[in-house]
Amino acid sequence: MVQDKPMQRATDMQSPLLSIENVSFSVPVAQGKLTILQNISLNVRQGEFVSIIGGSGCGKTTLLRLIGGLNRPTEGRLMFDGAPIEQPSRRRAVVFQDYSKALLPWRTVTSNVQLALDTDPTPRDAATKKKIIGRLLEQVGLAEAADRFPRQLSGGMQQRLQIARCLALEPKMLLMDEPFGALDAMTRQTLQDEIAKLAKETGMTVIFITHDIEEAIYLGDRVCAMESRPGRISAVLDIDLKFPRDQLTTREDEQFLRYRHELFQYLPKKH
Amino acid sequence: MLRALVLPVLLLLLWEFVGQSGLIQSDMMSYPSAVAAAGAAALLDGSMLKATQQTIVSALIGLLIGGGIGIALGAWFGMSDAANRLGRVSVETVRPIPSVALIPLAMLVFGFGYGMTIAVVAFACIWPALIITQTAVKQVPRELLEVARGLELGWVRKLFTIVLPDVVPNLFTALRLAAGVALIVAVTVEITANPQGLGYALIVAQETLHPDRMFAYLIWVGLIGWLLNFGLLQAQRRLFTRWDIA
Repeated sequence: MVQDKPMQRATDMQSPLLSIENVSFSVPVAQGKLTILQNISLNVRQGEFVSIIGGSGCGKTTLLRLIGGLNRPTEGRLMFDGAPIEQPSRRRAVVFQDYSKALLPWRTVTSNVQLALDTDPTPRDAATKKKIIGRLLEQVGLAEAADRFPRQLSGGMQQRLQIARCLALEPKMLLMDEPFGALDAMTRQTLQDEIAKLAKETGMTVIFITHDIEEAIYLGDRVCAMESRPGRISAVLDIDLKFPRDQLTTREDEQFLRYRHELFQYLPKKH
Repeated sequence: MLRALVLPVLLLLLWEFVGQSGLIQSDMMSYPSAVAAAGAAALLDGSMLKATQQTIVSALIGLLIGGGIGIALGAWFGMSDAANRLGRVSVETVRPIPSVALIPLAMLVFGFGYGMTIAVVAFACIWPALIITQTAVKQVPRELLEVARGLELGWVRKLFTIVLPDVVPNLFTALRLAAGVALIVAVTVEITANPQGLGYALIVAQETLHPDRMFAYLIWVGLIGWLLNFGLLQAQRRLFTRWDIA
């Protein structure tokens, strides 16, 4: 078996940070097996923002879980930074859709972020941790709520907290599973702009799962459209829209509408 | 509040009247004023406090040992399917044994004294703690466990930073249930076999034909049980409402 150690660092700009090679995933059912993902291949470069869209049940969450290392593929392999993905890693932080279940309700906002630092193998003294937490909470707009408990926060604030905790890991890649799906439209737009800004600032690679075509185009450098039963990639589209993007003008851009048109045909017509 | 007291007070007065008048002839008949006097006497000569201390110490130590074993096993079975499969048959074999059936065995092993009561109480306290803990651990949200995996936590860390804090409110419920069991079993052991504590005081009062003292101990035991539950409920509210508001 191959070891979970980088045999060769992917410093070369040409080689992808993540490569998904002919990956399939199936689960045993009463009559044989159910194929959830079939022959997925995709390369993601360092610093890229890749949106993945698809209807419900197309396996996009499963794909994210495979990248996260939370599940193992039945066929094919996933390589991250030169090594095969075999288990979850602090370098690939997952932002779960259900933020209310992913936060520790008995810890304050500060303490939830601190969890990521306390479990870091590199030791830091208390003052440094405090500084990092302060900066992160500032970054996600939670500085005022530092001493509150998760259940005293709105949904949008809880999701910001989860993002802050993931950022505290200083991951190379952020995996987001429909992170704004449960939020109201206003909050969603604000958070879209914030995550776009964060990604640009940190140079982090982001995989962003959504079922919202416009959100996918608005955020992505690239959009992958998935089809269901079995889940497979039906189209990959480079998004050539200038940054920073704007909720009003970008969404009215002719090019944006063309992308929207093109991607629309790949999605199921009935939900 | 006041109106709720009307009926009990009336019943007490009726009891007093019937008892004093001699309408009912019985060796086990007493009335409130006599019970109060006997209770005061037992309190003042120190015998009631000594018995109370013996019972409570046995019940608490038994509760700590049994509850601890139950919580540890429950957490283990809840976190590991292999452990659950391994342990389930043994648990289901031993659990149905009525704890009081172990009194003769405990007497043989420990003789009279604290050890015997503690052993039986501990046995009885394992099961509610085990079952509640195991169920609670199984219900820790999948997301939280995956957060633990994402943070690359080992199982000890996962247990202490994620799993146990998440189930603490349930552990408290387990503790409350087990505390009730502990008191019942401790008194039972004392009534049936162990010559110490409140249970023994109760049976001695009955056998020496002191119904007033017997009733005084009975009320005292009831009061202790009620206080125990009330105290734990209050503690639970104080500790867990803060972050548990939805």
